[in-house]
Parts: sequence; structure tokens; C-alpha cells
Amino acid sequence: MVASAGFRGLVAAQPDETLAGLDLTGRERRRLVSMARQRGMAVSTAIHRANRLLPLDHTLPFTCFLLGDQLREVVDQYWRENPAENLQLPAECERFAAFLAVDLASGRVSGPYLEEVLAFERAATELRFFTEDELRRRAGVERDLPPLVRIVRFRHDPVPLLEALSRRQLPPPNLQHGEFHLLIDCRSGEPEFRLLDAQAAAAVHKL
Amino acid sequence: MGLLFNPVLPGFVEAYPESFDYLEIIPDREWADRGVNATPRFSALEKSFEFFRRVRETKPILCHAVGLSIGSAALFDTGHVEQIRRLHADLSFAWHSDHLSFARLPLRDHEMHTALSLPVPYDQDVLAMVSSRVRQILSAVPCPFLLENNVYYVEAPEQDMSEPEFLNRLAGETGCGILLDLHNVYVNARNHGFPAESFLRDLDLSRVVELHIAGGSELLGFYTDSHAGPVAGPVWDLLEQTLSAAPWIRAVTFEFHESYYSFLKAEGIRAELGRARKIWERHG
Repeated sequence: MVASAGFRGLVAAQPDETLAGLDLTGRERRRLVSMARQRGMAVSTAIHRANRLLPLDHTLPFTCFLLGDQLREVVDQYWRENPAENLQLPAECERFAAFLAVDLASGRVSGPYLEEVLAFERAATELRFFTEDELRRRAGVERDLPPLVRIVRFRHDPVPLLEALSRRQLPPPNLQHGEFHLLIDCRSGEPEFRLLDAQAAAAVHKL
Repeated sequence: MGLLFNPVLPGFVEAYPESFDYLEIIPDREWADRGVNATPRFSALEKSFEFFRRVRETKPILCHAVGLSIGSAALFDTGHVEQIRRLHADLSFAWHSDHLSFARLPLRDHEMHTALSLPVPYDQDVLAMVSSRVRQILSAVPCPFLLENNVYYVEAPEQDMSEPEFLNRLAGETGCGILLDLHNVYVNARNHGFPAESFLRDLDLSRVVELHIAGGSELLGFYTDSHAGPVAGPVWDLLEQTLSAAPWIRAVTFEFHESYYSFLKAEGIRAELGRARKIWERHG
């Protein structure tokens, strides 16, 4: 009833049909019906959704912003497929990012900047939460780079793109299109960002 | 005076160690749980635990879990208890705590979570079930165990006893302590129209070991326990009253959600901790 307003509505409106077949005592049945009809249930549902959304907004804020009107449908589907909460931020970020990447690849979700921004925030979250040893062990790490260094490929100039998103604004319409490589280096403990040209990016990969 | 740790706090903890006496951690946020049947089940974030071990060199660490779901009738997660025991062996908590609530529903091949702590019904059979589980926890983890009073936005009718009576009996019958969240009391009192003082009057304060203080916000006509920045004004009054009546209480923990850090900032956190410390010192 907390996770599904639709089911709660059925319990409130048609308790006999909806609860039929469940192994409930009379008191338990009366309680469920009473609770389904209280205004506080809508608050519980809203908090349930907020508590599931907050870890995503914390680790993938630009991605969530760019999803815009698509966000509600995406998270509803994600929560239907993943009804268990994941309290650890990087684990929840990774699970949702993997889910969204499939949707992006299939075209079910679309946006001109989503793929590159998702890749950027995914890398930034890993670098923020994992130690060098953990990063080395994790699958998918670019093995030719030090564990605390990532290069994220952008198809739009990442500087104005990320600056706009950091102000919670849509990127300017005339963003330069092309091949950009943003290097994130966390070896000093704090992230340092540097834009590489294609030659430099290839050279860094060869180091 | 303590601070509930969240992911935006490492810098604050290192910069202002004099502002708090202990750090309280939510362990479930620091490990990935692959599910009760997975092997290995838990993988801890090394970075977090390296940080906690450094803090532990100079300050106590308390453990405040959110993932046990002790009130789930169809599930008693002994694997979670065992993980807390391992953590205690590592960080040596003065005590550990969780919530008198449920949030997990085991289904055929997976779990559903409410992402919100729901109160247990305060019934005789629930008291017997939770008491048995508390005894198992006390024998498994060699340090005191506390349970926290809950927030509720919906009232369950026909309960056998009140929340304070349930907590008093639970603590009396098992030896567990009570973590009294004053903001939770305030939220319930405000939403359901009873005086918070009556809850405190009915609760056996001799069982209370730790207090939580926090703030909240409005949502859909209710006042919620959102930990939205500074401590709610009336909670300061409840803190005064509680410490005055129960000066043996050992800890007061300030909680806020990390999404409000940009609003509070380091100065705001220090101000809340400082104000709480002054009240503590008046009654200590």
C-alpha cells in the first residue's frame, strides 16, 4: 500500500475483493482498510518515492535533470523491476545507471546529452566513493589508465554543458558538436578536470 | 554530543573534530547488500571504513542501522545481525541501535522494501516476537542494543497498547535500551494531535540511553521527519525537558539529511551541535 497508490485505492474502495484470499485475521483486515483510507497513506507513498529518488539525485543529479519529463516513467519502471532498496549510494547509482544505459541504447529514453552526462556522473561517483584498490578490482575500469584517472568521451563541448547543468539549466542550443575527452584525475585526493584533444587522449591511453 | 554521519560530512568531521564527541554511522549505507541468499552477501565500502577507523582512533563510533527490519513478521535477518557483530569487532561500538519498525517484505524470490520505516502494531504477539529477536541480538553482538521509537503518518486501529507502553515493556522484558528520537515524538504529536509531553511522561526514561534531535518539513498537509536542516524549534524544548527529567542519558545525536548541507553549511552544523551542548551541560 505504501509503494502502490493504485493497490491502496483498491483496498480502500473494494476491500472484500482486493483482500480476498489473503491469510488475515479480522483485526488485520480492519486495520488495513482503515489505514488505506487515511490521508497519511499518501504522505507515506510520497516519502517512499522521495527516499528512493534521493540517492539517484545525489549521485546522478545532471542525468536526473536532463531526463526531465521522462524521469517519472523511468524511475517507476526501475522501481517496478527493483523493488528492493539499495542504501549504498554508489551501488544504487550503478544499478540505476546500468538500467538507464539499456533504455538509452534501445531508444526507449532519449536526449541529446544523456549518454555522455550519464557516463561522466557514473565515473565521478565511482571515483568519489571507491579506493584505488577497489577501483582496480572493479570490472569495467579502463585498465590502461591509473585506477583514479578516467577519460570520459563527450560528443558536445563538456565545459559549457556541465557549467549549465551545475546551475540546473539546460545547455545552450549552440553547443559545439564533435569529439571531446574530459580527463578526471583524483590521484591528489580532489578531482581535477582537464580537457584533452583526441591526440592527447590517445597518448594518455597508451601510457 | 554526536553527529549522524552522512556522505557529505567527511570534510566537516576532519575540519571540526572539537564540535562533536562521537560519530554515529548508518552501516547499511556503507555496504552493498546483495540479498539474504547471496555469497558473499555484503561488500563494504573500503574508503568509508578506512575513514571510520581513523575517526575511531580519537572518538567513539556508534552504530545506528536502518536495515534489520525487526518488525517484519516473515523475516528475521540473522545475516544482518552477524554483519553488525563483525562491524562491532572492527569498530568497537559503545552500543548499536536500529528502529522498532519494519521496511522489508520477503516475497517468493526477492524482497520488496517500503523505503520508509513503518511502525509495528503495538500488540501482545508483536511484543513477544520482537522481544525474542532482541534477545537473540543481545546474545550475538557483545554490546548494548537500543531500539528507536518510530514516526507514523497513519494510525493502526485496535492496538493492544500505546507506543510508550510497548517500549517500556520491551525494554523491561529484554534489557534493551531505548533510543528516543525527540523529533519523531514531535512529528507524531503534531500530526496526530496529542501533546508530546504526554508521550515523554508515559515513557520509562530510565531506559533511554540516547536521544536524536532533527528538523522536518511540510508535505501534503503533514509535518514530516525529513531531517531538513536545523533542529525544529519545539524539539529544543523537548530536549530541555527530557534531559532535565533524565540527566543519566548518555548521548544526544544531531541528524540532518545530506541534501540540506548546502542550506546548513559547516557553520549551521556547528551551531546546532553547540546549542545542544549548552542544554546538555545545563543538565549534566
